[in-house]
Amino acid sequence: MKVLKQLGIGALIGGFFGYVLVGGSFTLPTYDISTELMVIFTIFAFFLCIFSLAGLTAIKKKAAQTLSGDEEDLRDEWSYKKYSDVSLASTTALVLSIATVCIGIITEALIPLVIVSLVSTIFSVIVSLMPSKYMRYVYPDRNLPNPNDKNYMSKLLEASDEGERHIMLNGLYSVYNLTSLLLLLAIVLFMFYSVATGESQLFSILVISLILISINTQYIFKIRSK
Amino acid sequence: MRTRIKELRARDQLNQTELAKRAKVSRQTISLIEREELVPSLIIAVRISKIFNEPIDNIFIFEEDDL
Repeated sequence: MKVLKQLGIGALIGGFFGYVLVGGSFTLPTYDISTELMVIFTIFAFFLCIFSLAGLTAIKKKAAQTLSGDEEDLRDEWSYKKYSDVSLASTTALVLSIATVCIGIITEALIPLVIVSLVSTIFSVIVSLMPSKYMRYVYPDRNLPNPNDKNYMSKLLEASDEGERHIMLNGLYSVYNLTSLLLLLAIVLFMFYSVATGESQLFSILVISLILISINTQYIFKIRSK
Repeated sequence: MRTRIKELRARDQLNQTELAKRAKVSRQTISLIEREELVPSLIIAVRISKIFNEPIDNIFIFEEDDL
């Protein structure tokens, strides 16, 4: 059943690209829907920022409660998960805002729309910087480095214990594998897109290839010198 | 490796947060060890053993295959 499902998905993807390559008349209406994309992305980014701010306020409020026993453990677990959700939401908001600005500039969108997307980006940058300041509410008894410190990330890693490093290592390793795979798929996708639409994506393919080589070189050099 | 941390915490009425504070680690680390997803380092095993006043091999039980 699983093999049949995989064959079916493969046939659909292959059929689509075959049709596109043979037909040669495929184009994504990116310019036609740029305004809608900008509005949707900005609204999403705004709501994610509000979600992040509400989450941070909730973490601070919960941290002020005096609890004991299992309730204290549950609060700690809740704060940790909420903090992770907030970090993800604020980062996504930042990426969406930057993408909105890019769309606005590339498609020469209406000036008010570009200004709104710029304001959204500044708001997202501020919100994405806030979680690190709230870390002390999630880890009240820890001597964590100041987010303004030089080499903050290295100091934060040093301040982590073996369990936290274990969690980070698992997460980062899966991200590393996923990034390599997705970038490879992006190169293939851009190649098909270039052939199908006649719009060269060669620059993007070169940039992604350089990124792939850089991250793999960085990883290999880090592990081979130990 | 099996651990008796949860059972010993219940015996000594300690929550994960309190045990973590005493063992000088994060609650996440205690939770990982308790769920048998992380084998603690020797130093943490010794600290936990002192907190519960039990020998290490009475807290962390290794199967024949682990050794």
